Amino acid sequence: MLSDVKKTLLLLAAAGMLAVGSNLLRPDPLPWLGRPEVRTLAQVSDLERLKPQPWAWVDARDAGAFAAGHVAGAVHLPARRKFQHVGRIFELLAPQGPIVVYGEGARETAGFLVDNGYAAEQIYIFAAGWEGLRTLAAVPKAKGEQP
Amino acid sequence: MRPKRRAVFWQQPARLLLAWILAAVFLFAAGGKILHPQDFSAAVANYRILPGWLVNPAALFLPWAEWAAGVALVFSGWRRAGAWLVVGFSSLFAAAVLSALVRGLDINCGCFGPANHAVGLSTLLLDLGLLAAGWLVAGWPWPGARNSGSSSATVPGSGPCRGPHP
Repeated sequence: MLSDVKKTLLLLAAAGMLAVGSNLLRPDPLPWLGRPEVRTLAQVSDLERLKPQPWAWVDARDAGAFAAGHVAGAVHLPARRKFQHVGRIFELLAPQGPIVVYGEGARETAGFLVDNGYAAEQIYIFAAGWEGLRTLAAVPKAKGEQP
Repeated sequence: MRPKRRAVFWQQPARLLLAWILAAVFLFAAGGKILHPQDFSAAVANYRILPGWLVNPAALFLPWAEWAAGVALVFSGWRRAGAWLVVGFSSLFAAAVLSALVRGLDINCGCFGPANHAVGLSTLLLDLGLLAAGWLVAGWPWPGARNSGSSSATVPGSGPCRGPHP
């Protein structure tokens, strides 16, 4: 009679084989290692090279910071309150085209967008955040809450 | 001398019922994740615990391990092994949820596939409940339960079995 430990190991081995087999048979298999990563725009020059333009902006900061100043037209999807927007996320943000997420919590908000059907390949995190954007004359700014 | 604990008549049916409930929960949870591996991969990544290269292997393996645990819980000969898997995975999930709560992450828990359910205290309590149920099915605190997972031959009132059967 097999011991519990052996049976448990057998179950885990069977799970491993099923995981491999099911992924091989899947029409859109998951890459074996890693995952499609959301890319990071390290510098302003990376932002300028981004095609096709225009892109959608997403501000991941808290409400106070957003009201004090943000990129004009940016969708406010704060990292700590993003679940409030689940129901109308596609109204706020078109499903196609590049999306640039900035501000504290940008990585978390970007992950949330991927969770909700946006492709990781279309999402970019602007690493310099709002501090990097506020001084850029080419980027229009606005104040106040999101309508 | 400490008196021997006795198994009572309701323990076996209660343990069986608990095992079946656990099986249903684990099979349901596994199904959503197996059907939507991309969503589960994103959920795993959002916990920011595993290195990036391990996210997809974990997202592929964990749902099938949950499924194996659920199936094992249905069959008496494999029930304890399935219950130990439940204990292991529930501990793992509870630790991950606790770590997300401590870090203030507002993320999808990924508990039942693509459905959006934010990580919170309820998620932690669910995991701890599953952990306790798995522990009970594995037979830890119940006299007479230790050998009954594979043989289901516990006689009510027979007490713990500490030696080879005659």
